[in-house]
Order: sequence, then C-alpha cells, then structure tokens
Amino acid sequence: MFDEKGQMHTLEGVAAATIMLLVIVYAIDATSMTPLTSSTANVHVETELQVLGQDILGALDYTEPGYNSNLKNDVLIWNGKEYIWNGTKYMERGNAAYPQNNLSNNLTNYLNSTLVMQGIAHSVELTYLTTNGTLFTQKMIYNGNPSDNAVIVSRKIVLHNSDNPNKNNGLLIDIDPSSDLYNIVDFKLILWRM
Amino acid sequence: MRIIKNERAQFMLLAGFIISIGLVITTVMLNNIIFEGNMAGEAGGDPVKYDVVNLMRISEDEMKSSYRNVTSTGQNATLKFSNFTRQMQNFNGNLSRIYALHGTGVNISWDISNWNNTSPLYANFTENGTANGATNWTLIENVKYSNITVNITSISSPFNISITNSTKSWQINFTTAPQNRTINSSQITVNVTWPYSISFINGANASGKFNITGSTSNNRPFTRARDHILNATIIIFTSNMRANITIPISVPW
Repeated sequence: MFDEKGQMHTLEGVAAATIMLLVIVYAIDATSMTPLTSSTANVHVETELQVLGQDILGALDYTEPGYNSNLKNDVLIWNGKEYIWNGTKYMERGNAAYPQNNLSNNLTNYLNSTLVMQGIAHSVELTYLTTNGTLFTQKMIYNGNPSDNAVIVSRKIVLHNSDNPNKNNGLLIDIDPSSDLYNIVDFKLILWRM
Repeated sequence: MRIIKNERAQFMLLAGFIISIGLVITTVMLNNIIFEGNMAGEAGGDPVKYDVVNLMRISEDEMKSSYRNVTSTGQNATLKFSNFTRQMQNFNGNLSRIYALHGTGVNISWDISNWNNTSPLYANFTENGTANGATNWTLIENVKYSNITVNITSISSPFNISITNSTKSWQINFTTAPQNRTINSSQITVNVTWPYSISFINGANASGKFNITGSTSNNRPFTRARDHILNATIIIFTSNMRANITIPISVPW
C-alpha cells in the first residue's frame, strides 16, 4: 500500500521542531540583558569603559616639561586614607563626620564630571613596591567589590626623592636610597556598570 | 461522480509553511551576522597600546631625571656615568616587577654614547634632535621674558633663532662655529615686545647645546634645554604581542 502519510508526518515533525526552536530562541533573546551579562554586547560596554578610563587618566597625566602632572600631584598629596562616594562627595571611610576629611583633588574633579554623572561605579587603587621586592596595595577610593565584568585601566607614576613623596603618606617608602629614584606607583582606576 | 481524496494539498501547504519558516530563520541569522560584524566592540583597539605609550613616557622622564640628577651642582662629576647607570638599572628592575603584576614583561636599555664619549656628539637643533627631525619648530609661545644660551659646535648656514610677536619678528643669525652666545631678556625686549614665541629656523643645519629659561605671559616659569640626545630601547611583551621601540630622548629637558 503506497501513500504519503509517512512523508507527511516527517514534515510535520520538522515543522513542529522548527517552531519550538524559534520559541526557545525568542525566549532567550527576550530575557533581560543587563550590562553585566556576558555577551558580545558586554564587550562593547567594557571597551567603552576602558576608553573612558584611559581618557581620564591620559588627561590627568599630561604635563609640560618641568612640572608634575595633576595625577602625580594627587598621589603626592594623598594621605593614604580610603574614601567612599556617599552620593555627593568622597568621604573618609569610617571618619566622615568632618568636611575636611573629604577627598577633593584633580582626580575627584574629573570623576565628578564623568563617571559620577554617568552612574559608572569606580574604585581607585595604588600599588607600589616595598624594599623586599613585594608589592603593596592601598585603596584611595572604594565603592564596593567590582563585578566580574569590571575594567581596570592603569598608569605608572615614577616618584623621586625631590618630590618628597612620604610627606603625606608614610607608607610610601624609598626603594632605592642610593639614587634619586623613590618608588614606582601603579595607579589603577577600576570601572564597572551597576 | 467519485470524490478524489488524497493528501497532496495538505502536503503542499506544509511544504510552503516550512519554506517560509526557513526563510525567516535565514534572514534572522544573516541579520545577526551583519550586526555582529559591524558592532564597534573593538573600537578601542588593543589596550596594550596605552601601556606602550605610558612606558615610553616614564622611561623618557626617568632618563631626563637621572641625567639632571647626576649633572646637577654638587654631584661628583667623575661618577656621573656610573650614577646614571645605577639609577636606570634600579628603575628598570623595579619597573619589571610592577608590570609583571599585569602579566606584562618590560625591559629598558639605554645608549649614552653621545654623552659618554671623549668627544661628545651634540644634537641638531631640530625638534627631536636628530638630523631628520623637524627643522623649523617653535620651542615655546606666549613668553614674557627669557634668557637664551646657545653653544654651537658645528654649522652650515643658515641657522637662526626667530623671536616673534604678533607684529614683529627678530631673527638672530648664526654663521660660525664653535661659538657660545647668550641673548638676555633685555636684548630681546628692545627688539620684540612680549608676548612672543621662540623658534629655531633651519635647525638641521647646526648642532650643539641650548638652554632657554624664563617665564610665560601668565608668569609660569619654564625651561627648555638640550645637551645631548640619548637613546632608549624599550621592550614590552605579553603572551600575544611583543614591541621593541627605540626612541631618542633629549636631555636634560
């Protein structure tokens, strides 16, 4: 007995499977995509953050011959304490009662007009060398633990004895007493989307 | 009349349906491919380029700083080369440790043969100090007062320093070598009123040293000086790239 029922059932099966596949694809696409969701779109967000961070550090680190950059001056005048953003200003962590404890420098001016305005979470860490060859990290600005998709941009800043680097931050030590080289600071700006 | 009963119409409908679904899928997939292909996900380029620029900058600054340190007043002149080398070696070693934190290797080497030579080689008066550098260039603008010292070791005329304000230009011509010449602020203001700019014209035709100090129109002190051109070779490498860059560095500023 010959008829086309078997072929028909096969085609119906293929059509049903295709419809189900489309439903699944649509359901996945419809799932809310946050900036933290790992995807090709997230690469785009990370790239934007990286360029923004590098631009901030690049603008701060520019200087003419014979002068320290704004970024280096910020490192030199920093007292080694940790600050947090309270919605209006960077306040000293654990001791925010006095307005003189707020952090206000070239960096915070830039951050206020860029990252804060755009709602981009950020932290700032400084890593420098110790005399026994290890690295030591201090937080300048801490706004919580960054997400897995956070971006880190950094600048290396060389400090010399003539800069008087430990005037405000006693933890900065001279790694090379035999020459004018004092220490090398890795200034890291960490950015992530909330 | 007998009714012809079969499933051919249903079969054709189903086939048409499947073809239309297939077209939709193909269109969506093609659209996704085009979208991904044109997305500016890599618009920032390779992030290591920022590290390279930063490394070049701090290496240059450190060589200038070391040179100024060992040649400053009060330093033992006989130890200047060894002191310079020690500071640069310490800089190189410590910098490697900082970069290792990011999984990046760096190495800096330096060539001071132009300076550490029984007959030191002086730089051209071009923008970067090499013979092929920009020959007509402006050292500084909006100057209020300045003192210029030029030591010329070789020359093939013409070479001149141009001091120019918005209405007038004063050309200081140099024709012989060797010669040391100082142009002080009062000499300049007799010829050109401030604010003025200072430029080297035909800098490739002469070599030697210069030192210009003064203040800009907003009372900001400045120094522009060059004794020699030293060379630094910077190597930076990660797991997937390696760059080897040699840059001329003007010292002391």
